[in-house]
Amino acid sequence: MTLYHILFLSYLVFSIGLFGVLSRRHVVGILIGIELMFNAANLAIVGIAWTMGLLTGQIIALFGIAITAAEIAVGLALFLLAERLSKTVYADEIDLMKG
Amino acid sequence: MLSQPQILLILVLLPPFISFALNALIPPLRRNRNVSSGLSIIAVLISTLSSVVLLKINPRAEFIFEWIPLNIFSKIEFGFFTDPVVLIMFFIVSLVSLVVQVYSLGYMSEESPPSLGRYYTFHSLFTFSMLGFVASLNLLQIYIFWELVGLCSYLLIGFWYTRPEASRAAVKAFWVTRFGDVGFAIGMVLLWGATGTFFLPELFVKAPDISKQLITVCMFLILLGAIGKSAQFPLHVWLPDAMEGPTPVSALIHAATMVVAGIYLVLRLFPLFELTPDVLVSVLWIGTITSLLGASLALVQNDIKRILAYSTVSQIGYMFASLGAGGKGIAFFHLFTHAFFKALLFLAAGCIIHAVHANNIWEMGKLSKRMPHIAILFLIGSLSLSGVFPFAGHFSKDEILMWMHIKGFDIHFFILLITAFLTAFYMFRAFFVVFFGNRESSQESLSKTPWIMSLPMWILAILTMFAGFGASTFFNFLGYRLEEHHTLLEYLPLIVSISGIVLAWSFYQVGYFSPARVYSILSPFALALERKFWIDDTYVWIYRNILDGLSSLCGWFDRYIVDGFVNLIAYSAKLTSQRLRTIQTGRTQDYLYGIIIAIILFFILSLLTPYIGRTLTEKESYKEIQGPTIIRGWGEYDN
Amino acid sequence: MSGQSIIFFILALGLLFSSVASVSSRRILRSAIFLAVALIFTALLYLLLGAELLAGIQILLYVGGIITLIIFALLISEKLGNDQSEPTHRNIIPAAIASAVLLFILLFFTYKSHRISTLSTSSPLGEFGASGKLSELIFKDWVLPLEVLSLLLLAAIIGALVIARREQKQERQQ
Repeated sequence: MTLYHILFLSYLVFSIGLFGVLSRRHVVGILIGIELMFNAANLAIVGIAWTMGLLTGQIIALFGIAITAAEIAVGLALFLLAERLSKTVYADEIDLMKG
Repeated sequence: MLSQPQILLILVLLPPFISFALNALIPPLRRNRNVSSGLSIIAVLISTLSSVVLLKINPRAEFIFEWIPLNIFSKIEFGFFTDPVVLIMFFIVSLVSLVVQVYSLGYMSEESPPSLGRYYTFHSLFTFSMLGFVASLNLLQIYIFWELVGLCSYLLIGFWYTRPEASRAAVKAFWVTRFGDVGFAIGMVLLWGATGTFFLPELFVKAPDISKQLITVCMFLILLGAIGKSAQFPLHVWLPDAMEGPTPVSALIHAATMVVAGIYLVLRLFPLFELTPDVLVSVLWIGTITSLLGASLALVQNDIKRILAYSTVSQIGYMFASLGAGGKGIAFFHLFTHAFFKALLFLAAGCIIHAVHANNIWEMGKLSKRMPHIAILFLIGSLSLSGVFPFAGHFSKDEILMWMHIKGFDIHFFILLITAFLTAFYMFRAFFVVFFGNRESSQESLSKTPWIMSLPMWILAILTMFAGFGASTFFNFLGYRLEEHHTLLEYLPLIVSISGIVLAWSFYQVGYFSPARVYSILSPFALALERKFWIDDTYVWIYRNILDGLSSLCGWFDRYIVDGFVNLIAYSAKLTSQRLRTIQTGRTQDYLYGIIIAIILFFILSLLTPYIGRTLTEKESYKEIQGPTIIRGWGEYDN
Repeated sequence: MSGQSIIFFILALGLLFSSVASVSSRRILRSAIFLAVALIFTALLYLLLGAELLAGIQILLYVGGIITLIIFALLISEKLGNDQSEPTHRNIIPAAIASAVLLFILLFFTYKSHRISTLSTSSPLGEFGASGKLSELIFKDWVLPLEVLSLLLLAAIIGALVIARREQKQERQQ
């Protein structure tokens, strides 16, 4: 199990998350995809920290998790508001910025 | 302080200008009938008297001042000067102008005061311009006055601008002379480019150094200007139409003074013309052809003013031919006599027109009984024009023909002789028809001509009768010697003229030959004459097809290519913006695709140019990224 | 093939399967649950690497906090997307291509990178998970970012509250 393995795994999860972000119609589905991407990034950071033997990487990962929590909270609040206003949960039906 | 000749020079030139300025700038002055005309006439009177005094003194005065002190290429000095030719021209211009302006008081008495004021303003401007023109020593200044004179001609021809024929004629005159003026300007500038000066004496000194081809081109172009202004073939088409203007105007401008500007120009620049014999030959030919053309076209005219107009064209052709043959003084003498008798003829015609209210000779008739004075005056003028002894015209025409013969220009001599015959013929055709014709005019009582109109005419008549005898004085004044030659040939012109008169008498007065029969015999020729040899039509065709075609081509180009180009840009901008706008779907995921595309592009860019987005393959890069020391310090806690 | 490798392989497979399931599930609630599973697998991976504290924090915060939030939000919202008529995915093939391309780019840079190749050595697991040292680091050297983080969380809470609040003012004024 070398760094390359962990990185490769991280990249794969990242891509899967990106796929979810790009192709899901439900807003929360997109948020879930973003979560996956964050998670993959954390994994990569921890992997590199493990390789270098530094503890700093874990701290960075910790901060990442906290920030992710904040971001998801705000994102869900926005989702609730948007759903209330436009009566739909599907992202492609909210196109007020069209043109 | 100014010397006496200079003062006199200013006295000749300045009064008409002051009269013009006052009339033009102060409308109340202009609208008053008596003030405007009085101002103008007094000014011209001063000029005339000063020019007579100058003639007596005969100085060589100069009055030069720097107008544009440019020192870039050459100093442009403006100024006026006098020499015998100038003095004689002063006399002619100011006297005829005075005579015509006094006559106008009577002729234009039915005009409203503001209109009359306008008339006299233009007259003053014209007098000033013509006087300035003859006294200029600088080509640029000559050109300026030349244009001013042309402007006055336009303004005065179109004086009754409410008549469409008048304004059309004015525009035509301006157009045609402008065409010649373009040649003049180009030639003038070319000369300046070659010698670096406009100043005539300097030009004469430097001219022989210019290459033959260049100076031929220049002089030909300048000749073009003279042809335009003096209504020679092929630019003669404006002069007959110019008869739409008031008759005094025709007398002054289109008989005595402006149209001879071309002659004067050639005369003034003669040292340059001497360097180009080719151009002189063309002058000779143009003059000869024009005189024949003018005379033949006058044969079929029915409007008395037009007969006189074509006659003017023909007589100036004589002057041109004489110049081309080298007879400068002789041409100038003919100019001198022609001014008087042609003005006389025009003024007399004006009286007739004024009385009968018609221009057509066939509508006048038996006027010899009702207007005897006019008949005598017209007879004097016609005899002079036909070259009958003892009138002035005989002397000048005789000299020209003799010169032609002596110098060996036999073809031209022959053609000019035929022209003399035709001149006598058409002139007396007019005389007989107008004064002894059969048609009675409807008005029984014709108004008597007031003394204000007959006095000027008598002045001119006296000059016409006796000026011829002063030929030797004239030539001595100019500095030439008059060659005396007595051969039998001397009498030939006289015989020709008299035979012309006799023929006219037999045609129109006695009726031996019927004009109608002769007309039908010579019908194709007559048709050509009626249509003025289709010259006018040629011009119209050129204008319509070539110029209009060219302009519509340019219009097409402008509309479809230039505008089309701009429209194309606008249209393509609109099209691209319409297409590009579809990218903005308003959906966030689609924008994310944009980000990914950007990442891909950066990736490709990083492959192409290794300096953008380094891939950290060099060992040095590891050392670059040291990071903050704070992390370095923490490394101690670890392995 | 050491035991570590086998466990890693199993955990990796689990992570991959659950993330794929999360992304491609038709019902949104199932998607959230699969996300929770993926996060748990990640925590197990952290354990494998030796970062115990981090694994604990992962489960506490991520699974216990974030997934709870997501599920609450899903339940509060009116539609859960139970009807099968509406499609849940859009533009599948372009998305797949985009993710594949990104994956390729990432791998390209990783394998060309000189620095990573110098890094990739198997390190001992030993003191990686020392929680004591970790907390010391947090409260000594990283205390400022920690406080800023708390401010950030405060801001996030207030923001979320303000955004998602129903309009109560009008009701109260009546």
